[in-house]
Amino acid sequence: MKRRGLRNALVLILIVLVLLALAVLFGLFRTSSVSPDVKQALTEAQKQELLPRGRELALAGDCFGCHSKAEGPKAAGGVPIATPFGILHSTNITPDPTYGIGQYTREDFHRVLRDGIAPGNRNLYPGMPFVFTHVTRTEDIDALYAYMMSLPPIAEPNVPNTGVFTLPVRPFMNFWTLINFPKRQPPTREGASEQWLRGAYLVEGLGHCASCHTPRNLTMGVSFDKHFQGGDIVDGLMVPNITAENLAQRGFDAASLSQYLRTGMSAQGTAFGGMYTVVHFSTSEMEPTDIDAIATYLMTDENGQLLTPPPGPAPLAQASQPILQPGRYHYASACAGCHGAQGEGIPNVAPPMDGNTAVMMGNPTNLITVILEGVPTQTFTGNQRMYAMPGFADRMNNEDIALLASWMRAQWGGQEEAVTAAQVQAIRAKQ
Amino acid sequence: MRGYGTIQAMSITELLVDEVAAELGMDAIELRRRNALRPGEPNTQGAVQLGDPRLVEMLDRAAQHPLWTNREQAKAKYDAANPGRRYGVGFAQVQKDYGTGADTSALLLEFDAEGKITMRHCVQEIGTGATSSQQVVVQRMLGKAPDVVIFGETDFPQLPLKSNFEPFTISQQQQDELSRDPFWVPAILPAMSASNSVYFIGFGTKQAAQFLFENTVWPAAKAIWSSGPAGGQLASGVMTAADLRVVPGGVGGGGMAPIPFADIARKAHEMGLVTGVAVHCFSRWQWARADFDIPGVGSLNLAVDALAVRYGDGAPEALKARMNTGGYDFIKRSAVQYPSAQRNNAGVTTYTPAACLVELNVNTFTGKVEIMSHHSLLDPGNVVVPALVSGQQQGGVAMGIGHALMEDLPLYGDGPGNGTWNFNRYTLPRAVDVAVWTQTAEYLAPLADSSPPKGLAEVVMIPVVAATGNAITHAIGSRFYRLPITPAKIKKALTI
Amino acid sequence: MSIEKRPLALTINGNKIGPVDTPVGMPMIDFLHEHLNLTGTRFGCGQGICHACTIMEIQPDGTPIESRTCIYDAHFFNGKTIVTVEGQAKRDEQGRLQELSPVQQAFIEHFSFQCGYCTPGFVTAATIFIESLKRQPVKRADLQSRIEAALNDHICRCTGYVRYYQAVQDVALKTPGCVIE
Repeated sequence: MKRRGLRNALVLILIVLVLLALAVLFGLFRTSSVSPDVKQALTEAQKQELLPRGRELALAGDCFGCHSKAEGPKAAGGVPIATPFGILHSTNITPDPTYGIGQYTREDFHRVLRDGIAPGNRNLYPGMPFVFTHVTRTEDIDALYAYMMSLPPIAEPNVPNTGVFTLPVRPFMNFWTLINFPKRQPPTREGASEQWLRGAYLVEGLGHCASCHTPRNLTMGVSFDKHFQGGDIVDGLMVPNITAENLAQRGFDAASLSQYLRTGMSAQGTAFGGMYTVVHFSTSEMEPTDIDAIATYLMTDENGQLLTPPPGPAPLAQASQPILQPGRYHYASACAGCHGAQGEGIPNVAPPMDGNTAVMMGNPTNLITVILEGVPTQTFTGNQRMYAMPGFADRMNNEDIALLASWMRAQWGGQEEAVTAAQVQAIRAKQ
Repeated sequence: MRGYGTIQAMSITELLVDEVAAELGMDAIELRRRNALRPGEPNTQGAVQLGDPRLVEMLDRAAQHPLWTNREQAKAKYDAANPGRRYGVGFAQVQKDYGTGADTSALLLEFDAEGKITMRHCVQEIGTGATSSQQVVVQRMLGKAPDVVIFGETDFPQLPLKSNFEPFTISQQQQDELSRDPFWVPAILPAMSASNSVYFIGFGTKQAAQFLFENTVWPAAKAIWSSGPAGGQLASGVMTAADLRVVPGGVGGGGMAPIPFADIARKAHEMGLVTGVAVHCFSRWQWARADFDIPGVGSLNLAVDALAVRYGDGAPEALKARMNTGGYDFIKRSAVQYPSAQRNNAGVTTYTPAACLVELNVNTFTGKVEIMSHHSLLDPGNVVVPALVSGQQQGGVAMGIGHALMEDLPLYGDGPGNGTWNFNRYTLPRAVDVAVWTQTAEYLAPLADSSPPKGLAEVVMIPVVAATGNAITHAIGSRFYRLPITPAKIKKALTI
Repeated sequence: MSIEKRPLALTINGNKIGPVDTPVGMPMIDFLHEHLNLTGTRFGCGQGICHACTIMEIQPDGTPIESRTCIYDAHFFNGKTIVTVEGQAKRDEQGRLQELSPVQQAFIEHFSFQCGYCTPGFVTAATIFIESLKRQPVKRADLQSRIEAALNDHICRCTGYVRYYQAVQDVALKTPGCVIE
């Protein structure tokens, strides 16, 4: 009798679980955070007034960095995002009525940015950073809506996703959001300045910086408990830790960080890889006051202290030891022609290595990757343009590069730990 | 080698001409056609151009070009097929002056009894290929290129000339007085420029070669063709100097058997004819002429203002005794007709016309302009060395594209004046920027074989600038008045 | 102030050079010009942009690659085999010119260069490109874009590139095994 009772109990629990799972699957636990006010359409006059704010917010969100192919057309989508489950493609967000979002109502648009749900109750994949855009205020979402609807419509169909995403898996996002979609608010702090609040609002919201700069858990959700402690490898480059302490330790203060975001160039280094896209499409076009706010927020620690960098690392004893001299000679041969015999760089041509933030990173991945692959020609604001740095994958072997990187890190990075040839090989193998 | 000067003004005026045409609702080439200079019409300074400007003819050719006639259809088709990109075609025409208003040339051209030709010339090679073209001129006119050439010659003992070196400010009275001295000239040696070599400096070469052709080669050839029984090949016909030609094998014409230059040379020396000539010429938008009484030749009015001659080995002692000026006989001019000082006010009379059609597309997202093809039109006159003209034209249009789209030089502290700029920031056009495979060019055929060659250098880089700007306007509707038209400026014009 | 030197040995145009004590950090182009009087390689921008300073480096497997000489020091080429523009033409034992290379000859026939400053770089790049086609031929339809990819980094101000590119296309079409239909 007891056994049957136990079996019945188990079956009951199983049925309940299945019912619960089905409930989740069908979105019963998916709430809406959209204000009822937005059911009413905006007037033309209202939309017109919101355009400049909408433009600034779209830049902050770097919408076009993802939603436009490198050669355009603007906002027509088509950029591939590789995931372990297949390739997602960004969508057409021009107001084209057939292929874009031209049919979206004001409410539809809010539902997307706040809840991550598109018209027809379609769950969006988190390639769209709705976890972050969720904190955006109602009037700001209205501004974005007005701005998006003012763009020229482009009749380009969306590129189909691949892999798992060809199957009808959207409902399974409801499980994902249970664990990975906390209902966040714009950050506040007692005694915080207007500037800090604005920076916090942008960084933790539309800016979605943490989507790259924070590690992800097994389900590819953002691990908010490890906020800004660095992310995965993107395009072969390690996404750095950008907590205030780490930024300061690597030489930044609010002014230089602001300059870096506004122009892509600073004494601490130039923007390349993923950050080049961000600077190019987003931060270099935004209002300087907003960038200052972002920099202030990022350089402020948990106690409200605006951090400043300590004096840069002095050359370590290793740098002068015989074992690293081949590394020094490699620098003199291959690097000093542009980066200067003393690592001083050439103004407006090649960034200094002395004081360079990538050289100071604990993890040598980025330094090794840049030595192997170089950096493509990049344009920055203010007529600035840096010609391509050559890659040395075909010119230097793993041992050479290991010695070079070890010497540079000892000389200018304050890093004791040498780089090994095996490390270089591992990075080379991934290319 | 290309200099600078009017590209700045002409580029902007050609952009404005298109704007005026648009406001008038008129085809942009038609507006130019109605306002183009016709032959013999004075310009704004009162100067009348040398020869036919051929501007209307060039406009007519451009108007018929498929790039122009198909532009609206092509735009509709391209824009529909390439969302986010916009197609445009633009045109511009300019004419660029060459010469300075005090152009001179000086050279010495002689041959020995074996036919070895030596030329000592004032022209210096600055990259224009002038040293090549001067040799080709001699080859075309005498049938043989010089065997020995010395360029960059600044010292001509055979022409002991003097000058007060004020050709631009001299008064008529001063000029009349000073020119009574047969050794005085308004200016002695020319500056080198990219465009003054083939016509202006080459003018002296042409005068020297022409003198020898008429006064030495002809009498020597006549003597050779008349030799032998019954008055030779020449006797039963009527041949004059005007019938003499350079032909394969040497000198001929009138049906005579060609004579190799070496034989002409030997005969000329035997006959004691003039076997070397040193000339100096001067132009103030009109060539000076002078009268010379040359022993053994006669009284001639030549388009030079100083002349010295060398007599052949067989000349009588009396003539040889006259050769005491650097081994030559300096013939003092008995009269000289210098262009009036007033012509300094008239301005330029020598121009080369050029036009360009540009086909491009604008990426409205990146602001980048892609030049798809371009077609250049040029009137170079009678070309002396085709490769030099073509190379100049190809290089010029590339340089112009750089000026139109890429070569931004900001003012003030962050600009190139701060000493840190290099080609990373000063962007130069590369092959992919200039439609290297699809570009085309046409030259207007010379009106006759006696058309002079036209000086050209900077002209080839000018029309492409405004043509590019006009094409961008056709593509996206915005007009630009500050060059270069960079992606940043285009994006700003398109910003919503 | 003492200048740190290290021994340098390499093969240039078939000749073994060194070992010779050479300053650390001395740009390779300075070494070519000052120590060896090989002035054919040009100093243009000094920042690796214009590519006038390009020479040919022969890798161990015989493949030639382009190397700029204004941004690397002489020691970067230690132990390597390089060919400068002076080594492109065939010369006899006395060093007298016998025959220009096919690329050089084509540049002359096409009137590809005017002032000549960028020409050594173009000769090097074009020669390497033709060699690469011999190893891996290209389809006729792709030839022009491949020439662009090979030469586009080289800046020229005089010529507008047309005759350089036509000459290289000509050499590719005339050299057996380079272009397939």
